[in-house]
Amino acid sequence: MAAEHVQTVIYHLAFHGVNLDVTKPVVVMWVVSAMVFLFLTVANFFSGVRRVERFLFDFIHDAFGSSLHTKKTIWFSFLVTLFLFIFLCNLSGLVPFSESPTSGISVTAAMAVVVFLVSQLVGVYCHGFRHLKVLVPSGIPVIMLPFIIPLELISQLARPFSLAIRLFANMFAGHSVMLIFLGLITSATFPLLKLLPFAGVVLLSMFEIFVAFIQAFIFTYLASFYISDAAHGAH
Amino acid sequence: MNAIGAGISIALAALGVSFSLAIVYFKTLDSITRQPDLLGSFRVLMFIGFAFIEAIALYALVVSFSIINS
Repeated sequence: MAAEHVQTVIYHLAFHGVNLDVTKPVVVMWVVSAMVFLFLTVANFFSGVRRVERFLFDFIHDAFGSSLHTKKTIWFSFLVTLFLFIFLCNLSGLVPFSESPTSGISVTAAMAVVVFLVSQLVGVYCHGFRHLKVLVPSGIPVIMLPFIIPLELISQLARPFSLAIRLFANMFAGHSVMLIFLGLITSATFPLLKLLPFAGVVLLSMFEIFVAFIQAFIFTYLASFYISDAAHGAH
Repeated sequence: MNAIGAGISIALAALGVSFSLAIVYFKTLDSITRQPDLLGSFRVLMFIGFAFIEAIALYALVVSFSIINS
């Protein structure tokens, strides 16, 4: 499914046999990054844009401030940027002639790996190598440790997997269902029968805007939860 | 045989998801009835619960696509 997803190449580029083609998702990610950067820097110069940026920071603060017990505001910048990037990438799937980069497993897996590395590094930074004690829940008899530790290790390693696949599957499934409805439009015989799949496509597009926002919110919420869990959680 | 496996995968996942979402929304409505001034928190928790449960159905969809394409 994700393996034969052929991306339209815009410019061929390779580095010693490593494929670095500039494809359409890459161009969309450049555009989205430029938009996020412009939004967050231009906000210092225009009061209207500053109000929108303040609204966004307050939204992130209210939503994640209780789960993120740290006083350092660098995490809010990271979470706001992550949220904006994922939200705009998800919305790019609904813009004509462009696709969402997050509907490919490579983009979502890269972001999930980044969040996982950040959470583990925060844990090691705050607690040293006692961070490995997160694998050992409290109140377990020592006999059961060789059974509990692999299970806890798997559940910790499942976090970036679930993060990546959740975002990828939501975006990919939305596009797949919309393709099915579009196929229904073209294969309907009477013009009046074409109205129902068309209404379905319109409703599905509105639902996809909602799903784009929710998945960006969930990714950011889980990122903040994993980071605060590594910093303050089970220790 | 591939198609049967793919169909069973997504069908069972959709069954479980429909029950789980019904439970989540049922309890959310009950909580809003008990304490109407915590509506904001309930809304946020409801969306978080919705996304997690939908994600499980979509894992099954990913599995069914992999079965179809292998």
